[in-house]
Amino acid sequence: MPARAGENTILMEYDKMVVGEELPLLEYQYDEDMQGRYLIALEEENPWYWKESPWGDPIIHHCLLDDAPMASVMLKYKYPYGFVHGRQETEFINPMPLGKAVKIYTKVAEKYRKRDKGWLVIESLVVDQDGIEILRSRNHAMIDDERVRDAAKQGKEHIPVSSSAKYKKS
Amino acid sequence: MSVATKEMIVGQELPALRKVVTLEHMRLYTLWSVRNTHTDWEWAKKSGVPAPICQGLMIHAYVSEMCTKFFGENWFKGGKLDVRFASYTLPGDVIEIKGVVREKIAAGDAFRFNCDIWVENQAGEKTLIGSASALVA
Repeated sequence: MPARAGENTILMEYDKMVVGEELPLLEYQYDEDMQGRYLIALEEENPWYWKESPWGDPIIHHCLLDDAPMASVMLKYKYPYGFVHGRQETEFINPMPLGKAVKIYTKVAEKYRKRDKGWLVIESLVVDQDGIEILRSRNHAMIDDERVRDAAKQGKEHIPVSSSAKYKKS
Repeated sequence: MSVATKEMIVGQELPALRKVVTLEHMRLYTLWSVRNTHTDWEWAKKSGVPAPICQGLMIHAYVSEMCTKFFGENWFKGGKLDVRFASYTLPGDVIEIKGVVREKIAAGDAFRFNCDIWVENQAGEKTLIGSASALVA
């Protein structure tokens, strides 16, 4: 997933997050170039992703989709130190041909405390341009508010700023 | 491509994968232009980790590669993956992605295979643990 920081992002603090909050809708269209980088990085040689698949055309690799929660988060919130990805749940609903456009709906689905740390569950549903559900993912992330605030004071936020895919914030 | 068959029994191993994780792979996965704890030594040290750490979702993708080899097309239509990232993967680590069928449940004419999956590094430490399931027709 190409992540791109939004403008005027705010600090993400566990205590201030509200369950049910809808995060910015994302619209992407992936091309062979974008997918190719991931396939090389993963040393993934399955021709389903670049030649042909059982469904005809090459399909999109889910790795471009299943960190959608974070891509959406970063349009609204800073992504600081102190934010740890601890668990990922993914449901593969349908394959999607490479080149189709997707919409990604994301929300704060759950908050819980574990070992004295706050955890957020950011949930995304990926739907293609025809309305077919493709993938659902739940990203469990630990947020240490104290560390987040300290890092922010020191200017330590690390905000990925990279994208060659088409995207639109709505 | 799928190797899973309805005749397989609980205890069947999934086709294990072995990956050598390099900083180049990690940077490419993160699209190179980003400097953060996944791509840069200086940033990693500032954030208190010994070296750039591999993105969890990169390891997640390796697990899915193994599941695709095992479940084939069915992985993309109803496959489920739930993983916990237990420890860091660092540049130079050699990891093995493994799985075993834990449970086989009838689902109409097919079976749903529930599998335990995990990733081990060269020290034998489990860096990811979780479960995967899909239909086998």
